Amino acid sequence: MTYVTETRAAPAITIRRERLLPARGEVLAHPGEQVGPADVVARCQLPGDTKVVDVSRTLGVRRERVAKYIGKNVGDVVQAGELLASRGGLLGRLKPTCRAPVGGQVVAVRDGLVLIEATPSTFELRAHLKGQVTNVMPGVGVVISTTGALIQGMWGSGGEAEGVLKVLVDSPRKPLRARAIDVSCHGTIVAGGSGMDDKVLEQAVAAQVRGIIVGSISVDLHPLLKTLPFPVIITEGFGSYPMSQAIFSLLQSNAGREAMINADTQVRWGARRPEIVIPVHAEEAKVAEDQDAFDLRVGAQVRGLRAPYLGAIGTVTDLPAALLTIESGTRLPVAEVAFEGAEPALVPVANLELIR
Amino acid sequence: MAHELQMPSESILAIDCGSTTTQVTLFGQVAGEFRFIARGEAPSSVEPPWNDVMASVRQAIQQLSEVMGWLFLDDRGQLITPERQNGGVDVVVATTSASEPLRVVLTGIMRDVSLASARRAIGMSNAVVDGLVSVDRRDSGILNSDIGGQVRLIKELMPDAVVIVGGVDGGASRPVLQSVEAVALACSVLPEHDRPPLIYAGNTGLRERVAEIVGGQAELRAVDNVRPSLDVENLWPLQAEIEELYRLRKMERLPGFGALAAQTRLQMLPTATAFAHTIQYLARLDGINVLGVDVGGSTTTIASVVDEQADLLVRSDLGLSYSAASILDHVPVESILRWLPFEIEPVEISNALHNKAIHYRTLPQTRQDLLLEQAVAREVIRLSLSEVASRWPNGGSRSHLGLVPQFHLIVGGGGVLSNVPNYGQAALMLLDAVQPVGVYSLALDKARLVASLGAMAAVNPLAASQVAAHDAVLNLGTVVAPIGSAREGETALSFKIEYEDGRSLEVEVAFGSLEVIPLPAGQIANLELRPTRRFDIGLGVKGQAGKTQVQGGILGIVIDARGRPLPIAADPEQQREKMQRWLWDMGS
Repeated sequence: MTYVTETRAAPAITIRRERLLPARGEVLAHPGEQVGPADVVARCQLPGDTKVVDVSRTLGVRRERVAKYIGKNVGDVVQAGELLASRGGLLGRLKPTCRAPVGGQVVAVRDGLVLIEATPSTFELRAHLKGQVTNVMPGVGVVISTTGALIQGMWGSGGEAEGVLKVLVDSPRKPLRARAIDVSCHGTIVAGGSGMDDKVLEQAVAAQVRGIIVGSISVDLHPLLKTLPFPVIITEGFGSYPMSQAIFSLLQSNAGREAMINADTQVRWGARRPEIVIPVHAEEAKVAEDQDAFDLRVGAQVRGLRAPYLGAIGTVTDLPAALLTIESGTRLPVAEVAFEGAEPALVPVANLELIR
Repeated sequence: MAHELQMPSESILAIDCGSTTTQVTLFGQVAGEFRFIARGEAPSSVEPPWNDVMASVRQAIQQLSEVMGWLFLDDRGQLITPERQNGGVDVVVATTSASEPLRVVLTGIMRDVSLASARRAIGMSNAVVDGLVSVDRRDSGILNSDIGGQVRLIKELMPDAVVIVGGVDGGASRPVLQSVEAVALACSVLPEHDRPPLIYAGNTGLRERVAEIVGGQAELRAVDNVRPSLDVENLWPLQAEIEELYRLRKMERLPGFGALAAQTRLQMLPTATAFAHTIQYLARLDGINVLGVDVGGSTTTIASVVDEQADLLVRSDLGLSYSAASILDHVPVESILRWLPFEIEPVEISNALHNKAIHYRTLPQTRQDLLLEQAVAREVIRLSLSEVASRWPNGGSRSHLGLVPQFHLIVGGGGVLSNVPNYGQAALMLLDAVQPVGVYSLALDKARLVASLGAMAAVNPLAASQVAAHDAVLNLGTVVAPIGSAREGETALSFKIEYEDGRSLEVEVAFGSLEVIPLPAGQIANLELRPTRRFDIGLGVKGQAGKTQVQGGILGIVIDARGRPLPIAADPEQQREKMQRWLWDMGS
């Protein structure tokens, strides 16, 4: 058996997503509850900035002798400007004092240093998905289940967003143009075909779109993406590649529906791929999301992961048992793939993934 | 290979879990000696959807079973040990480079003294310095006097370990203790299970005071001072401590590690350490200088022995899969362009490398794509070597400033070198990137046995040495690389080769050219080298002739008369033509 990775581009499946707090807190949602993307399902306190007060230096007292002048203990709550320590001066002399630079809680006192953690802030965890809370992990988070279309991207930047999906091109080969983004795109997630340039991003910021999905972008745009107020997902890779037909068709067929996108990407050590979820009516969901069969077989629908077949969709027509020599001159395990509109080609198995 | 344990064994299975490829190699007795028998490999399964190293181990073993017609796994997918009549293997050893590197915050005093030494020691393991604290603003780290900054740094980064150095023995104390106070304070406010261990490798006389300050706030590990005096460096104790933490906090947390560890009775070794063990063994065996270069998917390893001094560099951030694009953080894309025989836009190279990073298992399909990966490999090796270069001793085998010492054997490994369709390409990558000098052997870790042998030596040193003698590396041949410069086309050296059968051949080699003279593996020949007055063949004197006996190999004898340092044409078009010619000369 030959194992390969996969990309999901499924029209209607059951999707379960964990929503976890960054620190222990309180879960607000209940099992069975229906939630919308903007609903807060849990919250927690995030520690504030840490300030170190060097009492020893401020009072001019050696570290080993300063403890007796510090009037605060671990756990004490202090206000900004509140007295932390003072040196008992003789009559008529000014007493050197040391005050809290910020309000917060004293979390450590040692070696003449007082550490104050500024007042914590409240973090609210939103559902991000429209669905049902199917599991509650007290203090930690929830699992939300929904049915709908799921499309996995290849790379993304900019976090999460929700909005009505608007497909602005009629072919996966067409790039997204700045002129296509007008006032009607306000608050929507817009999708293009092959790629986009910096003018598209400027126009998208002006139109206040909520997110962008395209097939590819040039690495040159990387720095600009980090400054955007919305997420961007690419479905194929870097360069100028058309969006895979399967993904484009799925986006087109769901245009006008509400989409939730998560652009967070981590390639390794806890890998995460960006994704687009479009909830659809429950009866339409037929396939469970989790499948553990990743073996490549003749007849499987695959996608190319490397030039010259990056993003191309095809069907495996043969899996030769022997290693074969490809154009680079290397002998390796290959598959014969009939890509759409092309002659069958020998492709390294390592350059293929299942798409389903 | 010096190791402690000798286990009776007829067959040994070595498992290496890399970040992109998992390999299993079987060694067994043939005519009374241990030899390499067969290998199997599979794409590594550390990441989703598998999240289990054992999935790829089983797949690679299954492949091995099919090749051998021998059963290694039982019905439950467990390795059958010891070997029985119907299958199994006596001993299993394992190495891995698939874990995340250990993330370290380094605090010290002087940038060019203790901090530099500590950085080197950390670089000898699978570890990266994530944050830096010093008294020196040039480090672009946190200032030693900014206690709040230090506390915030540790809280934000949540490193796997904090290394505190500074002060020669009997030297400075106040800034060192100040660092310890800040680190202890930061640890005291972290949840107990998140507190990083502190490794103290500074002024030895302060150990007791350091222990008092740290108290129960964190686990303290004290090792010998990494810089006991200004002119003495002591890297290995800190390196050993870092490696131990890497093993505990990273290797053992690899998904599926427990199941893999259960298959072997021995501690798993980091692949880079095992690779270095074998390189050091090969150097000791013949009393020679050896350089081992391994460019992996996420890690590049440089192991060397120069004048009996061993060194190791593990760049956990440089490789050709996950970390393919990180080379661009260190070198301009033009540096990669100079190794390509075709024109390509710089942005296309950036795009291709970022694509490789996200599609990290993929392999070049076209020749252009293959040559691009090889160009990147040259820069990865060059960058890594530049870090080691300052540590190689001057004088002795290193008589030419700015060049590498005289090595007698250079071994290249890792997918980009081992999987070349043409051995000339592998040789050219090493020649271009290392730019070795004099007369030396060039070899390839073709079957990727070098690291496995390092691990195998721990259970059966005799078996390891027997395999090393026959199968460890594929001998590409002997290279002669004269040092010097002349006008292109002028004679750099002439040589006479006398074959075993009495035939002889005399050749003049022009400066700027590469000549390959066939000498099949297993054959030896006498070589008489006569450099012109501007060239030194490694004897330390220009124009001095010399005779040597050389061994044949896959390529034979390579005369690299392109000059050292290798001249790169200023005009890109001319450089492309040169590259095309060099590839052609090497048979690619």
